[in-house]
Amino acid sequence: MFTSLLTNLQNLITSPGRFFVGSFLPVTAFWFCNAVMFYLFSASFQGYASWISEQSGGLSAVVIAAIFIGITFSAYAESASLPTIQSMMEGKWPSWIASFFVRAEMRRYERLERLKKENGDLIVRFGTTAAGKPQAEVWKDSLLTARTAGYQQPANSYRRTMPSGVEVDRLARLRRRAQPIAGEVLDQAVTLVVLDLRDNNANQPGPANHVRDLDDVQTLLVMLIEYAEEYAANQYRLLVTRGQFDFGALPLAPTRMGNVARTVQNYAVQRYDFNFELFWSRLQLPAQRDKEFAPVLLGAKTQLDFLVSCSALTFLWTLMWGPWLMLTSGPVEFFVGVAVLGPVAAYVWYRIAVAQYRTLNDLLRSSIDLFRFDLLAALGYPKPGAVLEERELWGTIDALHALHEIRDLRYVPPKSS
Amino acid sequence: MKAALKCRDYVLDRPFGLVVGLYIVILVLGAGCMLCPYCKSGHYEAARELKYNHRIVSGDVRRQNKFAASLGFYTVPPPSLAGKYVTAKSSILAGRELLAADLGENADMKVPVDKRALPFALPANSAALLALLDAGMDVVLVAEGKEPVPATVHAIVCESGKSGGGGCYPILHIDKNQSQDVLKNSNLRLMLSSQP
Repeated sequence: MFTSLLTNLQNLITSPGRFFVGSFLPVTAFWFCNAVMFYLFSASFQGYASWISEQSGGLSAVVIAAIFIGITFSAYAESASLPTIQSMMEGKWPSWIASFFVRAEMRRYERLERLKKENGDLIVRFGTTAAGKPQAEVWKDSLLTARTAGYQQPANSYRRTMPSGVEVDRLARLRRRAQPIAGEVLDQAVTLVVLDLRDNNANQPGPANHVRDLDDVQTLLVMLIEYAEEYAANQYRLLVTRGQFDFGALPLAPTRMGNVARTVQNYAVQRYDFNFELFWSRLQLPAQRDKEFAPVLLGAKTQLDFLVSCSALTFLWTLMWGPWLMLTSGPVEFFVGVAVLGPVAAYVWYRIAVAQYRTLNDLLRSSIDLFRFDLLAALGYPKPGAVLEERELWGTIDALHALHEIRDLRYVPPKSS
Repeated sequence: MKAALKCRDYVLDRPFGLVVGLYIVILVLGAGCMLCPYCKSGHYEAARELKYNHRIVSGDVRRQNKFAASLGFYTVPPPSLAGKYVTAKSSILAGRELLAADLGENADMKVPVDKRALPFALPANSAALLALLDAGMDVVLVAEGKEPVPATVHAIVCESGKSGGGGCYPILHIDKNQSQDVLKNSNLRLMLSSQP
């Protein structure tokens, strides 16, 4: 469904530049790679290539023109089949194949959910305590109170090698490795440092070579508390965003690209109750009118087309030459090279395409945010005044357009320009 | 039983890993089959008769795979064969397998006692003529107002790293008593001849 929408986009914003980058360049590279294989293995092709290069300007121009026409023709055919190729990459397969492969994506989804849960637990530990203060503040206060109490002590015999110093250094190593620091571990470290701050006067110099150890440990622990709190909050936001960019609504598609493709509809429904799949073709018009937004959208789609074409053609090239070399007992080193590097290259192109798809989808989400009121105006519906009112409005419009229900909505006259 | 179920779940939970694993197995089996010494279609044979001292160039060999060879595939000699010289005393007939023992790195420069081996520089743009010449071929050297000098191509030699065109030239063997005339005359041209 989403692919066909993108096809609409393709039809609407087709441009020579898009065809050149998205299809012509990859198809030219594909034929060039095939020619290289022919040149390496076929003496008659080698002879033919040499013959062309030796011909006079006129004849070689005719041959080059014929090659150019052939490439353009195949590039156009490839361009027309691009939505089908993309749809396959999105996992639009027979259900029994899809249900077999969807497990991999489900595992990825579950891993993300587990990480979110773990991070949620981490955040809870930094929440507000029974005393009404955030946990980080409580820890910092207890360190300050213990230090003040320690001023009663006559001397400072603290060394970094004491258990509290060792524990704080261990936590500092976690920070260096960008690891999370759990609340329980911080609790233990704070307790140990508090005891040492009470028993020693942190304002007095410590023993030789350990003069500032107690002060350093306390400062470091405060920084670690701040790090742990920030880490938990940022990581949670990161995981939630990753979930929004990587997965649409359940059930999942069997491929990464398929799940990324579904994220826009998911966002539109969750945020506005807006049926993106239904209204995208209508939303394109106001998006296209924006002189700054339209080229960015076109650029992102062109890049995606290019990457999808490269991935598919690399795979096709491997599928042609790998079995051919094996079945005709070609040079084994070539067979291994093609059979190993071909799929790896196709997969690398695919992963880059998935990353590019995320970018394109982010632009599509932006187009919903920016142009939905223009769409309402174009459809002649009133602009809502509040968030819930807007959700209700889009729900009603969806019912009218998609479910063919009869609902009453007041039209607003178009603004006179 | 429990372990088997766990193992099955582990594998099925990684469908793409399973596909990659199967692919690697097919790849290894395929490569193993291709390396198998009985896999004769993986060897090269002469695509035409190759005479003693012949330098192997494109089109001289083909893989022993009738189908692929019929489509013009594997007719370019691999690096292990390209530029080597036939050292088998008798010609290698078309369709005969090329064995390492029949090939050498250099041409044999020994000529009969009554002959002399002379390198003959061809004019520029003689790639087509060079492609026609082969070891054992009779040629004549001609010049205006002079008697033609019969000669035989002894071998085609190439400068290191060159495989044709300007970097290659024929070595001819000529009667000892005519070699001085040839060396003195810089206007000699090479012509193909069926005359001895």
